[in-house]
Amino acid sequence: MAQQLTVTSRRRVRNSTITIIVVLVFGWVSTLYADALRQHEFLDGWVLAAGMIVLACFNIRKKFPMLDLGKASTWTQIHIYLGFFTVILFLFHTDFDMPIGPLNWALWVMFVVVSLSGIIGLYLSTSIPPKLERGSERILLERIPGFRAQLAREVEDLAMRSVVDDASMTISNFFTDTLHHFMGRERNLLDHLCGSPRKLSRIRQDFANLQRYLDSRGVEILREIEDRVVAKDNLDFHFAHLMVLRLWLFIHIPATYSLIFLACVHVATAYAFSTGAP
Amino acid sequence: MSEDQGAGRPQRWDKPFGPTSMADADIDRVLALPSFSSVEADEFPKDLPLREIIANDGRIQRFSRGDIIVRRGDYGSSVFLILDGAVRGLASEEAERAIAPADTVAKKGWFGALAQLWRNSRIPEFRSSVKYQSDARDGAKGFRLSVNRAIVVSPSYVGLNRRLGRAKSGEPAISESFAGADQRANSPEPDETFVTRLEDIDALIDQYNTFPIAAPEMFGELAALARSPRGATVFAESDIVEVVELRWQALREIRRWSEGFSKRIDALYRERGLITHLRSSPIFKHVDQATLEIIAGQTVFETHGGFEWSAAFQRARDQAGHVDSIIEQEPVIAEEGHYLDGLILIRSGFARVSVTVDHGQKTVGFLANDDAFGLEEIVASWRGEGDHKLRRSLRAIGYVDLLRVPTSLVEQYLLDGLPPELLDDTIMAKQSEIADHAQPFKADAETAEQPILDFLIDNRVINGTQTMLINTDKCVNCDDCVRACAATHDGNPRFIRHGISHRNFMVANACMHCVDPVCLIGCPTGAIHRSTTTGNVVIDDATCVGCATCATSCPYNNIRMVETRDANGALIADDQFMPIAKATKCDLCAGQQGGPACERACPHDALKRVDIRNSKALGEWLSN
Repeated sequence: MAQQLTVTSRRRVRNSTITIIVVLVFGWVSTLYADALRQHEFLDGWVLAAGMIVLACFNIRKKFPMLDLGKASTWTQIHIYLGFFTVILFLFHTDFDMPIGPLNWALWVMFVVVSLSGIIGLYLSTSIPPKLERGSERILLERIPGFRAQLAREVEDLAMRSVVDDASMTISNFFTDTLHHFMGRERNLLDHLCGSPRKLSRIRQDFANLQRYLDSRGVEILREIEDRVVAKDNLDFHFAHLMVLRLWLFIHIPATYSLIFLACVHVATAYAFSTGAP
Repeated sequence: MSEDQGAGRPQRWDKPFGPTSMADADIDRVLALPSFSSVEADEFPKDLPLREIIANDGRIQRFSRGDIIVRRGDYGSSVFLILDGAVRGLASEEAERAIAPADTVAKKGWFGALAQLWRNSRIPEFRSSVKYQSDARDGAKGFRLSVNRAIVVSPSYVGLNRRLGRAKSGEPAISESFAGADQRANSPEPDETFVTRLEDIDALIDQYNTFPIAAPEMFGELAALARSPRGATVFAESDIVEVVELRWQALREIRRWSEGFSKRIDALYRERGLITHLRSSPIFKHVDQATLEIIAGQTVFETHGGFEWSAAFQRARDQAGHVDSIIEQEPVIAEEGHYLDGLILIRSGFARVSVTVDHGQKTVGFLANDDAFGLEEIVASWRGEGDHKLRRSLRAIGYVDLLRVPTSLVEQYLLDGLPPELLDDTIMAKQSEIADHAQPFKADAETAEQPILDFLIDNRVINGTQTMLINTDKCVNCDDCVRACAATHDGNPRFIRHGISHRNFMVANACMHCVDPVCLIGCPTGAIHRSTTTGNVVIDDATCVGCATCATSCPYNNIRMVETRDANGALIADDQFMPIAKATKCDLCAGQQGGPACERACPHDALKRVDIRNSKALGEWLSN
């Protein structure tokens, strides 16, 4: 059974086991700490703060690719499992209770935002890349606007040509009423993220319906346009998913720095109002 | 077809090797050389006369004392016959190291690496203009080298090499004094090329082992025939050295039509390289010197496919838009079911091994340097289990240079003493394991490896030793790899995160540091070369003249020409106001800490530099 596991699976099992062991050891140490009539919140808190600093260092490591600070993939693994550990630690630290006071509320909310965005980001990072194989080729986010503009031009040219070649307004009217809007910018992003082909199916039905009004040359042009519409829909699909892959970091990283700031204030106030030995 | 179309069709010798075709008097001088004593003009077909071959595929070159004529490691595409003067070759590794470009980029310390954060230029492709004020550099051991513009003129050379003058403080400098300027006015348009000159060859000869070659001998024939790297650096020893340089095409034509010339070349090869080559193969390890000489005496030297395979491959790919049918264009070296007349040893290049399945060919592996083909069948026949018929076909992927050892000799001299591990059922794999870092990619029809193998071979990706593969199931398009590359290359990324894809992996447009780096062919200054320490293909920015030969030759479009800019962001231009371009590509982060930054920067283990011939590592990574 173990031989059938891939390297990734083996790594997942190993890291999860280590994390569980560390949590258990920490729970035991924390119990001893409490048995010595000390406030476990100080121990939890400092370990939590240290963990958050290490987690935040991942982003700093990315800023220094020229230094030999270890592989980023190793940092990612540490980031993920240390992240889970800090969530458990946070629950210990808060005694599985809701916060009291505005500062603690802010801190609590920010920690939840950072944790949830991290977990969602992890899910997105593993689930989206395989989906991007659709359309047979990976498309760079930066190139999508250029490709889309090119397709839009081609569709417009074909629609105009149909007026000349086919002496028919059917395709040009279809372009004006439907395609111009569709080709103008990224569309149906939510549908793409939900995996719904509804919008494209409707457009393709429109294409099928139009054929009865066209001669063979018109049908040929219509098919060429349809190919480009499908290609544009594929661009939208990539755009929606690639943007999501980037945008979650715009929540996770600023929230992390806010959390660290609030944590510093929290430490200062905790010591300012503490009584006796920690 | 219109007359215009017919008149415009390019012909083989539209552009001769030299600026113009060689003159009759010069051709006579060449034909008077001992190498051509046995060559008869009437052996050649009427549409391919000997004199035309020499006139158009040859050129007279003249070198001054110290000029480097060929460099070790450069890929040979021509042979040299000395008309006048003497040259000298470097006979030791130490000597080669002494004159090699100082390798180059010293490893950065921690602070030096960090300092790139603020030292990297904000201007794309910034170059210090100081680099262009001096075109001299030091070799690794202080032997000074200078890059000079030389003029190749045929038929009558008029000596227009730039001469070295003396600038202040004794530093050598380039002067613009042209000898023979009067003659130049009456000469054909000169063809400008670049020559690197060793400036103190007496010291070099004193300190290191060298060997002389004098008129009328030839040199460079082995590398030219096999398109293998030159074995030694050769430089002009006498004040004036006059040589005729023949393109490899001429060498092959003359060898093909003139039996005498062919025998002479083969004899030279046997004398200079064959025994050494045979000795390096594990199959010949147990054979004594006398036997080896007998075998060498009857070994046939063959070439298959075209030297310019990269251009043909690019054309096929561009025309068809895919490469699925490229196997049909690959010349057959040995065909399944045919009589096996000899053991085939690959000397350079790649060959595809395939078996017939229904109406098509299924690729089962590929062979490269030092791999053998046919031993399994010979052994089976020797054991009475076969009938000397080939069980598989062998095709040339691009250009293949091979040796064919007659079956009778293999049976007579080799099989008896062959190590047991080479005689068992997995004979091919075992043999390849013994060969240094060579394991032909084995594909099992029952696994998913077959399509991958086809993809890698059809697209010639098997050439890569440091191929950048991206697992598209893991890549989140974060561009951390690109940013890391830019951060370690003065703000300029040296690869594009895009390329051909198959299933869940993409071969990105990054230099693969090929086994057969065709980009090296034709570089006029040797700027693109293999690093003497790592073997990686690197470009010396200071000596790159921006001719784009390497970028055009690279079949994978992994070399980019960039226009350089000065500190103000303005294009750096020459005295004709033409922008100075440079060839750029991945250098595997030479000088940086920790190896390629792209691979280290990937947070999802989606990017890896892979030696494609290491099928085990490749398979493991792909299945993750």
